[in-house]
Amino acid sequence: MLRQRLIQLVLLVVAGVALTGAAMLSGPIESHRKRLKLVTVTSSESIAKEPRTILLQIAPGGLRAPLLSYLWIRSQELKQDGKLYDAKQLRDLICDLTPHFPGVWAFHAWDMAWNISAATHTPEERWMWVTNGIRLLRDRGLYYNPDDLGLHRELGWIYFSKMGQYTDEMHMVYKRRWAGLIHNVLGAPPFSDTAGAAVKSFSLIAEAPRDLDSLVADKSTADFVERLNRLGIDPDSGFLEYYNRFSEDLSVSPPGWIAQKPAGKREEQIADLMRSDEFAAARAAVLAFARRKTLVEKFRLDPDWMLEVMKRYGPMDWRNVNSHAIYWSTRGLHRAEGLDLGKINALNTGRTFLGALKSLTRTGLFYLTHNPKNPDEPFLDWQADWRFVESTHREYLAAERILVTDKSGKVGKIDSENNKLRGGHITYLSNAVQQMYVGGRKDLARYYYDEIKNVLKAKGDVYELSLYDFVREKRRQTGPPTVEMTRALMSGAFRSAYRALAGGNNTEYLRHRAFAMRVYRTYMRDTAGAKQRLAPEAFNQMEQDFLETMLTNPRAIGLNVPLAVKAQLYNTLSPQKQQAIYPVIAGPLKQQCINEDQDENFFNKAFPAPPE
Amino acid sequence: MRNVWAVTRETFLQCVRTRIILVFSVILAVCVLYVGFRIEGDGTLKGRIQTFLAYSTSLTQLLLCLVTIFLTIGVVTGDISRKYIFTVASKPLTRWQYVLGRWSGVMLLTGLLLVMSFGAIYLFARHIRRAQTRVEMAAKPGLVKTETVDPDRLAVEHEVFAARATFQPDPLDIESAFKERMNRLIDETGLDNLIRGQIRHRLQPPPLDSKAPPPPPLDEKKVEKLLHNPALRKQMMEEIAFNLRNQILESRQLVGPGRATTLTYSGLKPEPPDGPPLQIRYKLKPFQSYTSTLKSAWRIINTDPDSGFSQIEFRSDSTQTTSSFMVDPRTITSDGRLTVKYINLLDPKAMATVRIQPEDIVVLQRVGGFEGNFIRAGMLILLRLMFLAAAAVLFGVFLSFPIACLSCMIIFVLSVMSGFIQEATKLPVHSGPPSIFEYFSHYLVVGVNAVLPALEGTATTDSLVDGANIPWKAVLNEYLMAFRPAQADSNVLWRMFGVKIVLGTGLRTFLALGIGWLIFRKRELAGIT
Repeated sequence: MLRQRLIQLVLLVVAGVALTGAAMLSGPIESHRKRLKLVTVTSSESIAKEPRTILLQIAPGGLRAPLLSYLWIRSQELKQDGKLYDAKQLRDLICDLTPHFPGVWAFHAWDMAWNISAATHTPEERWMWVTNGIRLLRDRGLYYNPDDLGLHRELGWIYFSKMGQYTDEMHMVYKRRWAGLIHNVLGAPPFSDTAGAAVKSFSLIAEAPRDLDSLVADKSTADFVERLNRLGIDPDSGFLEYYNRFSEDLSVSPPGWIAQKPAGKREEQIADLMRSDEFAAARAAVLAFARRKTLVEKFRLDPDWMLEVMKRYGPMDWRNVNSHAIYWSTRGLHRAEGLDLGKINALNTGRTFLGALKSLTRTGLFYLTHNPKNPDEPFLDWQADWRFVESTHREYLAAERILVTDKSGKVGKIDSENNKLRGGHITYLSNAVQQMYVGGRKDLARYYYDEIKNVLKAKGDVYELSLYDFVREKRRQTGPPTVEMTRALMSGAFRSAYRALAGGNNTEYLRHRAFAMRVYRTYMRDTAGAKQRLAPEAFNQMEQDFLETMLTNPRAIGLNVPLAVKAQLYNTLSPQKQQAIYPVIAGPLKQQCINEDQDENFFNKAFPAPPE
Repeated sequence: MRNVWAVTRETFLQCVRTRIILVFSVILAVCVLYVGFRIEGDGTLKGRIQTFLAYSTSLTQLLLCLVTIFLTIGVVTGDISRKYIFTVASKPLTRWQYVLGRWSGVMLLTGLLLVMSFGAIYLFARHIRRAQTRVEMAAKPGLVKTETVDPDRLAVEHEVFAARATFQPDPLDIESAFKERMNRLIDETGLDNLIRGQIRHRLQPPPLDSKAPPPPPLDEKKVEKLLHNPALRKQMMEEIAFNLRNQILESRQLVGPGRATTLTYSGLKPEPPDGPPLQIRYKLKPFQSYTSTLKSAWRIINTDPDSGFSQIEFRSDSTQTTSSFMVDPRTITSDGRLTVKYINLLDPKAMATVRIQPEDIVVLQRVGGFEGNFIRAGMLILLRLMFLAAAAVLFGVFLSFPIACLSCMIIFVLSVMSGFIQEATKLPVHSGPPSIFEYFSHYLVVGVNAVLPALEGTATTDSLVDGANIPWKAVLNEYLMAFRPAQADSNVLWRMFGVKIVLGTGLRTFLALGIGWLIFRKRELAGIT
């Protein structure tokens, strides 16, 4: 008995010594791991937030490696057998077992977004797998590895290539659904010729209070929040949902003819709060707070960095996936290497950054129309946004300067052989020149044409031609336009056509509209005929979208159209066109009449309802 | 039998009192509840139910297997080590009654646990089934039309909560082509030359390595001698015919870009127009090409002259990945045939010939309900527990607790992984002659597999999750034995009878119990020192 007690005592002492030793070692090990950047989340934070992950790392002990091998094999087998139900579960488990190994997160996110999504056949499934990949990287991979450049790049690449480009037959599903998601948070950005209005609007969100206490420090805001709370609404995404439904903010709410009416007394009270002038200032403060909170907590975006990006590169519309590609690729360099935007360029960000910036030039202006049958997938149309030409040109030049600078720091000639970006730069500017010229912005077209000749030193007979002949010759040389070029040329032609029509010049109108039609037909015949996924909307639909924008939000397409000119244009349209656009334009134009101190009679006379 | 029942009852009560059963029951309940509440699957309702079924049944199976092993060995070795066996042996109880009673006592308890846990899984699955799909959640009045087809709900009802039989295409009729090719070969080459060539090929197969030194010349006298051996001539002709049939079959299985192949499926049950849809499940394999996507069109035709109903599907699929689509039941003819035309669409970016093998395109049709399938799956799992309990009794009667546990765990792992181990120890075909180690491991596994049943870790679960029918015949085969036609690679004995007998797990169970009884009968319980 005594012997057994003695053994127990000795073993207890051994256990105590072992535990004490382990406890003493854990401190130095932890600091060593931190120094080597192996730990990015503290143990206590991990245990609090992700106890399952901690348990999974410890519980299997020495069996973790064989377990991982089995899970990898099983997950690949399941994928090949089309049994996707378990794929996400297993991938999550694999990542949980190796949370600080960025390659594992990157591989699984890529596999879900690119391979598994391609094995499915419905838009819902495709979207689900692409967003599963995004969420895995953004919400979990970057939580454990916040300073990993590769994960940021992979995330940026999914936005740019998978969602932003045209290789996937369901690329429009991704573009539309993403635009819808962000539209519900931020709404449509305001438009101005420069980035100013969009930046100013977004800075309200970036500068919004960080926490609820700061928000309710103001008495009137506290009162408004209190009223919201009484109706069961917190100042977060729940507030945004009701704001989008009931407010009179045209940048977010659906048009009146499809807007849902308040259901019940509670919703009526909410609707009153969302419209009341009394709470306008408090509502704006809560709106900015809720938007910021949703961006940070749901989308893991840093509004301060978003604002920095907008200030440097242009008025990004965050509903456009290319904006997010730029955000994540620059954010990665900032987190991993501490670089600010001044030191980030097209060379250290890979293809994503410059590609996305160029895509923004071609697709930057988004028009979203509510889709009553599928609110998650609004109708989407877009046009070129020339406000990004200057920043893209500048980024090209910055990168080119680095390429032609030798080891001693001497800057060489821009047309030297080392400048591998020059060809792409010239092509990009040439396309921009054509679009601007067709769109009636000859001043801008001439400026960039001169840049091609004088700064980039482009060589060839075509660059000796006048601007008009250059555009004609380039169009002839290029052959069938790409989908983005088609849209850009068409929107430019519509712009010129309807400006001419508003000014009473029917001949010019017909000439430009015929050009738009020719571009469309050529594209449909040569490209879209073979590739259905690249087909744009019907010509009439695109024209209708353009007209609606020109009459309700002309600044979005770089025009300033007074109310009288709008009325003149509206009344020159055919009854069929009037019938098509009237339901959308009536509300905003009536509001504009009121804003300009006109009564409803004026509206009815200026914009008479079309015949039935 | 009263004696057996007495031991059974005593064993049952003894097991119920042990802490191990309490611990395992708690773990089992926690696992099933955790899986039910936490697991989301791929985001679809179908995926959630499938994941729940896969994880809950697998975990139940694993835990019950472990509890059966530990409990049985604990009871049997405990009797001997704690000398309780003396009080039992002094009773009018034969040794076989003791062995059978102990085994059935544990089985009564684990069977009860199985019924309870499967009952809970079934109820939970039905509960999840009532949850809303994404389309149903979005179906607010005026937003999504209520008559919109919800693919997720359709899949839940017809792919998960169903028992579906799998049909492979009817064999291609190649006999006329074979006869024509064979006759032409004999005419052009001559019968003797043909057989001579085959003998040469057998005596000296072409080297696998093209850089290998040329083999020594053949002994032509030996070839001539063999040529006149009638039995060998017959065998060579069979080999030539087999190779030729394979060649014709393989060429028929290749579908070039822009070309089509038609497959017919027989034995289906004609369905009314509003009957459950069929499913075509396929995996496209590009032949000598690295294309990652294949575009195809599928025309499913009812060939009845008075029907003419057909369905067309256009698909774009990743290669080597299984895909599926639903087919209208009106495509089945009145005599239960289905005609499927596969067209390999021309795609300038991905021009690839596709190889279609019979198992690559299958049709699934509902033949029963989920509940029946669920019960049959439970019966198969019970059979596994029966075998493991028998193995535990077998080792428990002559080994100590830890050694018996280790032996049983090895048997458990080997049985569960039998398919994988068999595959891993196959004799190599393309990398030169096998080494001694490879021969040893191969035949060792063959020997082990002859004794142990193939418990195939996930097979039953996969059937449940896929909504694949587990026929009563398969359950019966598993309990007793199965008769299968002998294959070319079967051993001499089976080839002689033309049929291969596969002993079911049930019979193996009683074999193990019999061996256990024999050992126990001879065992001296109280050694005289």
